[in-house]
Amino acid sequence: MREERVEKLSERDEIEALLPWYASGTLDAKSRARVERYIETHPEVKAHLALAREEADATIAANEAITAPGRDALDRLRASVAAAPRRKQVAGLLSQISDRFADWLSGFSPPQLAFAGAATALLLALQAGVIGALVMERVAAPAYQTAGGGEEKAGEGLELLVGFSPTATAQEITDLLKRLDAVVTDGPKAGLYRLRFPGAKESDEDRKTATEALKQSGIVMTVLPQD
Amino acid sequence: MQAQAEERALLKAIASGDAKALERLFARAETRVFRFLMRVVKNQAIAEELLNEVFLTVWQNANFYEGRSEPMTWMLSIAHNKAISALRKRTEVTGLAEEAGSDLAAEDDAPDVAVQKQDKSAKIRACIAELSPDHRAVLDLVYYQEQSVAEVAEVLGIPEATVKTRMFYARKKLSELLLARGIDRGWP
Repeated sequence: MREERVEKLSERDEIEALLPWYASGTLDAKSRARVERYIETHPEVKAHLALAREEADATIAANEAITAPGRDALDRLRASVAAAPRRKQVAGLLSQISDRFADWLSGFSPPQLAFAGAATALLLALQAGVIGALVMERVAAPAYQTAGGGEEKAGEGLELLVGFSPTATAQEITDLLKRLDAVVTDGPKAGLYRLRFPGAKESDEDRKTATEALKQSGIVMTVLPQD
Repeated sequence: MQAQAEERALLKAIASGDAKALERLFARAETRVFRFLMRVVKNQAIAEELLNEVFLTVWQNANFYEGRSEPMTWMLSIAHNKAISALRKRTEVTGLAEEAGSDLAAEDDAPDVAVQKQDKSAKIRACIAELSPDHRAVLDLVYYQEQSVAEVAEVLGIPEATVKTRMFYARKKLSELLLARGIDRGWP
């Protein structure tokens, strides 16, 4: 997959790449107009739409040939749901402590808040210990696997500074890092951790994609570009 | 749009702890999610296990769903992450990523010429089945799951530019595989 990141498509190839979405009717208006303009001046590309439609027919047929799960799939899910706690319960202690802090803080006068602030810092310190374990794990292993399965050298890729929600659990943070192929390389400093995305580039697009993904996770409060 | 609105409402109900809403969402989405999982892991038992995990994750994390993407895109994203993790584990255990459990093994070439012509679609299906999981996933997401460029990017967790490049190489590889089976598509 590495060649996909470094090799920029020519305009012609990019149009060819967009044809599947064009044929499926899922292309946004701007790209659709772009494809249509190109096809007007390059009629041979129009013929390639037929290839995309053949691919669509074959792909749909292959999917529809897959038999839906057995009737016990729902029963299995019911059993799993009954056995598994909800996320709020999993978040557990940190979440409950955080909620109680909010109630507690609301009843304090400003001088008292100085003490309460220290207590909140303690909560964040607890989380820092959890994430710190992730940092140590990476320090111990300078090379790591990427989504493509390749070895990446430390130092490559996009870096962002991230502040996690105080209620984020270790499992949620670990899952997020795994899902985004990100690693914690440093922190916390001023409550922020340095995250590296080895498979991404220092480009505006990759930065935007990573930032959006982090914000959408629901467990990230702050995302800043690297200094 | 009506279907998406209903799925959003179901997710909202699930976030508030409505188990019946989860069952309704499961009934609506299980086939699409299961087929996507099967196409990635190519193993019925693993796909069924992952399907269960996907909807358990939906149950446990529905309150994280912020409505920035369509519910199906969100669920496919969860499914993709779980399928890739399962493939990695299988690779670590067996050293094989592609060949293990090939429930969707490529169809045999039909010796009958008439059938061959009629069966061009079957050959395309067979060649798509031979693609790498990454390449196959992008085709499935566009043609069967009807996901836009931005949605495919979200499901796969990669930039939109990479989605387009991956699609280009997937189609190019498909042409090469078809050529090896005697079908010249005239592209690229």
